Amino acid sequence: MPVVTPARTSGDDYTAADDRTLIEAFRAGHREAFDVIVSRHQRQVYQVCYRFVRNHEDAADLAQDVFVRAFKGLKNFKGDSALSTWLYRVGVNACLNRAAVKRPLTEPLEPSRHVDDRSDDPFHVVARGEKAAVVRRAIAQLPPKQRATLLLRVYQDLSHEEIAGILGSSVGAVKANFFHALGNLKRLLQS
Amino acid sequence: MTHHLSAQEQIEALEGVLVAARQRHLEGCAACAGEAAALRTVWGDVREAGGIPDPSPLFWDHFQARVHSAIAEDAARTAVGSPWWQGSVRSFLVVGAAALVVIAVAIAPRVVPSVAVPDDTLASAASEIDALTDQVQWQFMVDVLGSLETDAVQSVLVPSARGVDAAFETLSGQERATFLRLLEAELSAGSE
Repeated sequence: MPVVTPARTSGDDYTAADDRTLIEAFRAGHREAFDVIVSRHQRQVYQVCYRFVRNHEDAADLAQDVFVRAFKGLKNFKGDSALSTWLYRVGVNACLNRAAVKRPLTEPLEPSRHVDDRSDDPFHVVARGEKAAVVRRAIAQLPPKQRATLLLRVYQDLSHEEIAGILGSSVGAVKANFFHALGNLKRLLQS
Repeated sequence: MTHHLSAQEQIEALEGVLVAARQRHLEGCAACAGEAAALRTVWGDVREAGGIPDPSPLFWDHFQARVHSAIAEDAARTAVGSPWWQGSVRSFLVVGAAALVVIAVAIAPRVVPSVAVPDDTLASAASEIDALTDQVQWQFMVDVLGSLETDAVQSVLVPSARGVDAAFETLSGQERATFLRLLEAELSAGSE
């Protein structure tokens, strides 16, 4: 039976398509479907990378690398998880590989870049910013898998089951990692 | 007397999904309750520290183009039939530097080349590198050596008597130890 490739028409617009449709279209040769995947998920991927490396340049490089890997790996994506979860997995693996090579960047104390403007009291605003920087530096000192678990649970609000799928761990191991991450942070913040 | 809450149960308590029987223990145990309170405080601090500065809107405008370029570059690098030494100058220098480090580990300290390494030696080392089937190890090597400045890599390709050591000195202690461990493992595997 001959394989029929859908004709590429100038009117193809994938911006409203769901992720499953985008993946099928990409596999069928519609490159623009991958562009929509990138634009739809780029912020999520960038945020995960940024939380790992805490600087824009490295986060941008890692996010770019994630999508290059995704471009090559989508043909093997089985669809047993959401595309966003799969991209998280690719991103976390890229960050963990990087963490194995490079020491985490020590974030400079620039409270003005992360000012919490909920309070009008400038003293409290600056104090909260400084504390946040201290917490972020402590997070950067966690072992990579504990850091990954913490970031995905607290900031990306993923379930323990989703995190287990991303890290290739059991749910129990994820919870234990999360517990130890918080415990280690407690010790780091007290020291 | 029941056991204290496990790590997993402490997290379940933190998230409000602890089973009733263990919740009763938590409410009656000062140690477990204290631990739970401390974890809740840290969790709150972590949430508070979660702000990420947004990149410039221009960054997102150009990110697609950046991904396209990276995909095209990666495709060119791994094109079928391309000799291993073709590609960007940086990739060639990275592979050459990797070859020289393989040679240095294998033959040090007997010989330190004082002139440019012969092509057949590089090719031989390159074929060893080609045999590295573990993609993670290969990517690790490329990442580590790719972090070297071009001048440093060139100095390794045409080393002075201290050239190899100088290039190696650019790696951190942990990077050096990890890199040597991987090379030694590969060389041991190759000699079996």
